[in-house]
This record gives sequence, structure tokens and C-alpha cells, in this order.
Amino acid sequence: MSISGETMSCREIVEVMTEYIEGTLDDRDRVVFERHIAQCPPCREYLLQLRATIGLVAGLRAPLEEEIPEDTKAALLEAFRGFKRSKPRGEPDG
Amino acid sequence: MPAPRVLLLALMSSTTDASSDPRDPDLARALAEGDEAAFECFVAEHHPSLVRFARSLGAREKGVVALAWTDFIARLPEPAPSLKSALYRAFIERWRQVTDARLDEGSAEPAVASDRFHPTGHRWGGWIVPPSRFPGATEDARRALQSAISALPATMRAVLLLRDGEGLDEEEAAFALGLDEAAQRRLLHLARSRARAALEAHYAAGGAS
Repeated sequence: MSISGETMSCREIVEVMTEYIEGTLDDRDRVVFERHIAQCPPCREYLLQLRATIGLVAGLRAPLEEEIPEDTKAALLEAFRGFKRSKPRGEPDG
Repeated sequence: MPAPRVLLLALMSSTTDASSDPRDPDLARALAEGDEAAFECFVAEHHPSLVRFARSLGAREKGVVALAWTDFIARLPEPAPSLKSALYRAFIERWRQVTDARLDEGSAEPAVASDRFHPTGHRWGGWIVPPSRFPGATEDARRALQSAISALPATMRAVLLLRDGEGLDEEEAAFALGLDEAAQRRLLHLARSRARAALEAHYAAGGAS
């Protein structure tokens, strides 16, 4: 989404929040965005809510299983050996 | 006359441009050449997180993950932003075959319901009901968020979990999903917006305690 004017409404601001967080707003739009945020407590609060949400999503991750089952490892390695047999060394492009 | 060293290096690099991971060309080259130790390290690093991702998507992960690995191996050394993104792409392609994931979900949806704002034409078009600070995260809030994520359309759920769960960057996630980066960003925006709205509703209903 691109911002056309010198100012943005709150409705427009919330639509570019992800682009702002991702760092993909261009310099001009980022200046307009930050000027609005500096003057608008509700939009500032919305940005904080969105960042909190991102943090909570990351916090939902289940712990990784520490060990891969042996039969899984063996099956994957066998599949890889099949690839190795089909692609002679030195000819990775096949 | 022997070739200058710089020319030799250029020739060597041109023969290794088949790397499927510009971020880790040594690993990509090792896998392409069939290095089993490198493959076992790659599996140890990425299989557990792929399984976790599959489970959080609600996929019947065992068969889909196995097929994804087979596809990933068969495509070595297909160009990709990273080997990790190539693995996730292989998984998502298989997962799409067994789910209803579409790429255009909710593309016209606003991040915040329009009745939260003054009508267009109002001086600032500002908030009628402004957002308020989220209290600290509670188990109830986490459950509400989990429930909201589970209710997301499939591709939206996938992009949220790839980016904010598994930590793939924009380029990797877009490649994994088969989207351009702008479309990936739009889906991510919608997914985050829905997740935020679910938390807001949870807290507004008294879920702070």
C-alpha cells in the first residue's frame, strides 16, 4: 500500500502498520507514518497492540522435540542416498 | 601462462552457482554433492521445527512432512532464497494438496472494522472507539489467541506461523508460499490484524484476569 498525501487518517495508518513493522515503507511514507503516530495516541496504542500480538504468537510455539526418531532419520538418509545415487558427484545439476 | 587467481576464482564460482542457498552456499554445495554428514546436520536443524510447524497448522504431519522431505531432496539444488525456505515450500505444496488453502483469502478485508472510525470525510477520520493497552499475557489470552489462529483461513494461518512463529523472513516466507512478497505481506497483515482483534475482544470481555 502506498500513501499518497502528506497526512494519513487513522484508518489508513492501521492498513500500513505491517509495512511499517516490516520496514518496507519508503522513506517518504515512513516520515508521514511516524509523524501521525507521534501525534495520535490511539494509533500509537494500536501499534503497541500489534507488536504485542506478534510477540504472543512467537510465544505460542511448542518446544521442539529434542530427538528425531531413529526410523525417521534412517528413512530420510535413505531418501538422500537415493538422490546421491541418481546424481553423480561433480554433477549437481543432474 | 597460468590463469590469474581471480579468473580461477570466478570460474570456480560460476560452477557453483547451482547453489540453492545463497545465504549458505557451502551447505548447499555439500548437499548437492551428496554429503551425508551435511544432510544429517540439516535434518537435525530443520526437521523438528518443520514438524512443529506442521502440527501448528493442524496438518496430519507425519505423512506430509515425509513427502516434503522427499520432494526437497529430489529438487536439490533448486534455486531458493534459502534451503530452509525450499524445505518449507516443499511442505506447503504437499499440505495444499490435502487442505483447502487458497491464495486470495480475505484480500479486500480491512485491518480494523470500519465502524471503529469516524466516517470518511471527517477531519481526521479518527477512532470512535480507540484501542487501549493490552494487559499482560495470561494463559486465557494465549488460549484465545491460539483459537483465533486456528480459525484463520489456511494460507493466512500458514503465513502467520511461518513469519511470527518459525521466524522465516519475508523473502523466505513468500517463496515457501509461492507468493510474491507484496501478497505475502498483505496476508500477513490480515492474519496479524485478526489475531490482534481476537486479543482485543478477549480483553474487552474481561479476559485480563
